[in-house]
Amino acid sequence: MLRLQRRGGWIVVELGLRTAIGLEFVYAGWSKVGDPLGFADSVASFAILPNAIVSIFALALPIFEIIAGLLILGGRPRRIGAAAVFVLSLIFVIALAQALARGLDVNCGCFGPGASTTNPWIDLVRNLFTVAGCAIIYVLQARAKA
Amino acid sequence: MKAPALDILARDCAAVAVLAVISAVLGVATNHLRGTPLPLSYQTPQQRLAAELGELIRAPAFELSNFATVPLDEFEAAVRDHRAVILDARAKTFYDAGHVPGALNLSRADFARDYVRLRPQLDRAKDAPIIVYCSGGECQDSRMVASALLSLGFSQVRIFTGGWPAWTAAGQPVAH
Repeated sequence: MLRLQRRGGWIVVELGLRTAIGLEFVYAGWSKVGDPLGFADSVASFAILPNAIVSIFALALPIFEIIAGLLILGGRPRRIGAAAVFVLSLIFVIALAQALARGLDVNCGCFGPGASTTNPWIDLVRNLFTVAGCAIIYVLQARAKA
Repeated sequence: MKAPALDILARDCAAVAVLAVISAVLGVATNHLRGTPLPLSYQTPQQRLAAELGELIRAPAFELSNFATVPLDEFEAAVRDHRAVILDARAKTFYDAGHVPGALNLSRADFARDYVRLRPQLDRAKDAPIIVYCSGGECQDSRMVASALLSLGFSQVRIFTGGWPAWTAAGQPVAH
């Protein structure tokens, strides 16, 4: 049975995951900071949040992504960054899945509202991989501490 | 696989919650430093368009010029040959009672609502000839609607100043 311990090859896997996910989230957050209105429109297109909190969510999320990305890259403890990105990616998965199920024409806005529209199925799979990657990082980091 | 200790998990969940609050505070605080802050009360693109159009229609009418007006014979030819988009700027009640055949009702009174409704047709006419009419005489509705359309990027907007009275007086067909 494959044992998830922070030693040997898992250290390399964890470093790769942390680098990829950390850079992805810092970039994703940064790409949204400049156009909050466009990103708010993307958020609203998912038809989950009431209009009263769409703006605050659209203002907070890019900063959350940048901080979480930096924490997962080099924060102490890195578990916090992994946990933050895990929660966020899980929210994205739920949002995308319900939008696909309802047949909504959503603009993911994942890498900024101005980025070309991506296939929501690809976004969903990418976020599922991120959820799995963060779970691995979290467990490895938590076991290294224990 | 041994699960991480629950107390660590609980602490980390609390830390993520704190991170979310810090992000919200920072996001709202830095928003006020922007040239154009995002309104905290979100409006959909349609609501924003309606508000913008509401502002536009209250803007002063542009000055009439010879270039911007259409005489009756030219208006008749444009209607007959479908050479222009004809817009009726009167209120819906008057439009429903009778209008120039083929005319669309882009009323001054409900400009934003009508504009949103007619947008698919109007977007195709950004650079096409458009002629606006209202009740004739000193009516301002066609001037204001034309002014708003010019502000919205329509390039060939003119006014039929004779309006509805001149059309009916000439014995032209009426649509209902």
